[in-house]
Amino acid sequence: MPAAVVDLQRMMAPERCVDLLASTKMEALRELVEVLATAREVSDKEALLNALLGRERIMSTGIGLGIAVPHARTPAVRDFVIAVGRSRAGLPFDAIDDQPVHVLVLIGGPETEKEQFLRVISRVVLFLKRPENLRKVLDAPAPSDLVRILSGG
Amino acid sequence: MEFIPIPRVALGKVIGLLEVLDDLGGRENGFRLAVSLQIEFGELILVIKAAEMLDLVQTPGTEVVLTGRGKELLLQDINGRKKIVKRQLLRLPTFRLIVDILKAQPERKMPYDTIVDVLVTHLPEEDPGRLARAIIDWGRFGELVGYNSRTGTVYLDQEE
Repeated sequence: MPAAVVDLQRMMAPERCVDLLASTKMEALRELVEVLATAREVSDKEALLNALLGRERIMSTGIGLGIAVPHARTPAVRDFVIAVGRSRAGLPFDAIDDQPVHVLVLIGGPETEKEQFLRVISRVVLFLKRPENLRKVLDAPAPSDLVRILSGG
Repeated sequence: MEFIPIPRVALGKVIGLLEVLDDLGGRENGFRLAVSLQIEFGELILVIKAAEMLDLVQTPGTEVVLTGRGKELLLQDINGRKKIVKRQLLRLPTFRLIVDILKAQPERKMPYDTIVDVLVTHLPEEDPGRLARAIIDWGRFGELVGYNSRTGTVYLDQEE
């Protein structure tokens, strides 16, 4: 994906980075949507959840290595917004490598921003696929540290 | 599973490469091939890479050598060539990914934008639009997938 300005920090907030209580994929998506819906950018959390589930039905966004990037471009979101969830125990997520998922980055984007949405996904996946970055995310003492880490700080 | 990007190369150029190689006895130095084909070396590299992905050539050292499958393809008429290309495409994980997703859809079709979305998730370093177009172009040649420009949907060929 061609490089372009993607300011992840602007899309994130410390209160939207959490250690998940969920033990299933559905619970994790619901929990993260609730977290994301605290952002004013989200106007309809049920519609957002439905959009996320629609994408998951096509193919799981569990991309392997313990990472999942559930995402949806929907009218239910006014501007780009991200929530991050960690699961120490790992979650079943139908991931492509059949391994449990430990880090979920939920990305919501406005329906009209197709190209930028792809850039955001690309940026997040590229970052997390680097083992040292994934380690930092998993080892961060507090979930709120993830804003700085994912923003490359 | 490792997903490998599909070079943005027309399969007609790959077949052109095979034909020139065949005329030259089945093997040739890469630099001399660029001269014979009258194309830039950078473009030739992409054509060779595409042919290699499809197991139609091998590249020992600086040489490009027709494989048995490459020779077999040249002996076929257009329909036979399409069948070989289709078989080879299905061995590529990136193609397999898209075909399997299409198979799982109720009408074996999916919006082009969804294909792009899936590709960026698994190949984030690539331009997903360019990759999707390459997949559609190759898939059309192999009569594996098609694209309806009116509806913006990618569909699985009926016989697949």
